Amino acid sequence: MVRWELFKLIRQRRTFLGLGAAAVVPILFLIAVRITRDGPPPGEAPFAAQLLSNGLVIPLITLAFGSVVLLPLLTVLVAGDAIAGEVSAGTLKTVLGRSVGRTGLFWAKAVAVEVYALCVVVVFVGVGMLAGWLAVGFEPLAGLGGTPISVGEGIALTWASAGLVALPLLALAAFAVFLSSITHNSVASVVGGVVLILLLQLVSTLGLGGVLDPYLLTNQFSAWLNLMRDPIDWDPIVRAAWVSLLWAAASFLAAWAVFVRRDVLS
Amino acid sequence: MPSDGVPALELEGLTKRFGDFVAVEDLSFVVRRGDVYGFLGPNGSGKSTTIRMILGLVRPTSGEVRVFGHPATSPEERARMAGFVEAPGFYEYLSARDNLRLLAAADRRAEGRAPLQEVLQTVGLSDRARDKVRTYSQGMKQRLAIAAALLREPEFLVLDEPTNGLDPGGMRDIRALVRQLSGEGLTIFLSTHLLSEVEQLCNRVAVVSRGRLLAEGALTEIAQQARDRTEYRLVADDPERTRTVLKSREDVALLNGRPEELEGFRPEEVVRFSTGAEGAGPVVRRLVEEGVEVLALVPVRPNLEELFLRLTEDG
Repeated sequence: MVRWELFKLIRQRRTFLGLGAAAVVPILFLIAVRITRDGPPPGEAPFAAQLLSNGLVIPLITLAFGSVVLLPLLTVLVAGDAIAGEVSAGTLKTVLGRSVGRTGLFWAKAVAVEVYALCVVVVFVGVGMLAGWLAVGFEPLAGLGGTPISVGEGIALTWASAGLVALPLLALAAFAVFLSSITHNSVASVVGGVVLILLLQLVSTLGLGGVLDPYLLTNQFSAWLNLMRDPIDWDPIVRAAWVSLLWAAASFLAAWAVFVRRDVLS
Repeated sequence: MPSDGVPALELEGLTKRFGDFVAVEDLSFVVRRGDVYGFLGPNGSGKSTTIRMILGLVRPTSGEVRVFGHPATSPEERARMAGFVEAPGFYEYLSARDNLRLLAAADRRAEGRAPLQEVLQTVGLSDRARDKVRTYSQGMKQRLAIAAALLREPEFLVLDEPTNGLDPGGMRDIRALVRQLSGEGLTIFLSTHLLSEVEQLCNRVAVVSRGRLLAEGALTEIAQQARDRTEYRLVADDPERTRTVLKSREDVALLNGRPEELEGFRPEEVVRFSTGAEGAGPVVRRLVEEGVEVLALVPVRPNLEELFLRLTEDG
């Protein structure tokens, strides 16, 4: 069933829109940088000092701003449609009329959505890295503490960072699937996912989180920056992992519980 | 075609409430093997909700659905049944063939090429199998839905308004297909709001309105019920006096309502009534005794259409 869920995903325009945007945005960013030859002032963003001289910082800078809105948006775009899309197309009743149980179908969808979310990150970072290499070339990185990082290590750390950004993204995808399961409405689920992100960011920005602030889902998106320090600060990284997994597990279990019981009326 | 053994479908006290609204109320009937069972009712009478409960899409508030003797609460127990409810939904961005392959996979069946081609052939879609479902007409989607059901090699087929939205040619094709499948030994449950469809295809029928069962049985029995109570249209020289006489008799029901047509007379002159098995003889004798001159008496045998309307409007 997972195979067929993936097959359905790759045949849908929505998926291409998501992956296409993930591929195009790093290229547009690079073009903008090359045209203006003017990065953000040093200190404003991590790695900005090397923006014009080192292609290796392109995927890192795009990851830093992409994880704020773009990557979450592209993820919920597809994840929010996972169940609701089948409801509105009237295909859910068709599939549930077969031998596959609701539980089997649900987890196949869950896996497919997570594979898509991973692909978004891989495409986003991969294209950024490739474009940076072709347009600028790679040099050793200046780490966040100032310690130089070799090109090989830089590439490895960039992919490790992508993996770390993927964790809260997978959790967000699970939450969008939950919304999809309870609302049976694609738009509401996508918007709901985006609203959650914006709300949590707002809470964090206004300092309303208090002691909970380090545990907000949105604050896990920047955990990867700690990989770029010397020595690596593991605490926020470990926290990002378990906070994300907790969000994902809670969302999926709630979504599943609703999905197996809910009347299919479309 | 086995007619003994466990029935294909049993509904027992099936009820579904949505909040305060009762969509289906205490529905019980039995579909025996080999039946082409008509499920007849006007739109919005709870037919589709009932079928959703049969297919496991909607959980009953109370009551039970049994398929071949087993409570139909898990996909395994529904494995011998296939069908669709309301407008069939397919993945429009996939071809008919891919849709069927996907559904075969959802059945955990080998997606063998032969059965696929066979069912497409049966419903006459072989030529268009590679086209995206998006390009299909309503009739083609209905046929694809039947193909999808047949792919499960079911013993019991549930069809919800299979001729809905089709042109006369499309309707004829679907009905011919239902006859053919029934001839091949399938038990068929056919929901429809078209009485003519039931008359053409079904041997048994359940009539529902507002979620309740109004009549159930062999089609011939129900037709007999209709004939047992014959209606008459009568014209006499004194309509007022005629009505008074009729009202006084217990075996006669005076039917008011729609203006009555009887050729050669004005509608207000025509009195409509029904009697039991004894017929109109005693009534006419009484009228003559009362000095009323009977000018015309016409028996009206209600056809199924009228019976259906009467059942569903009065219910």
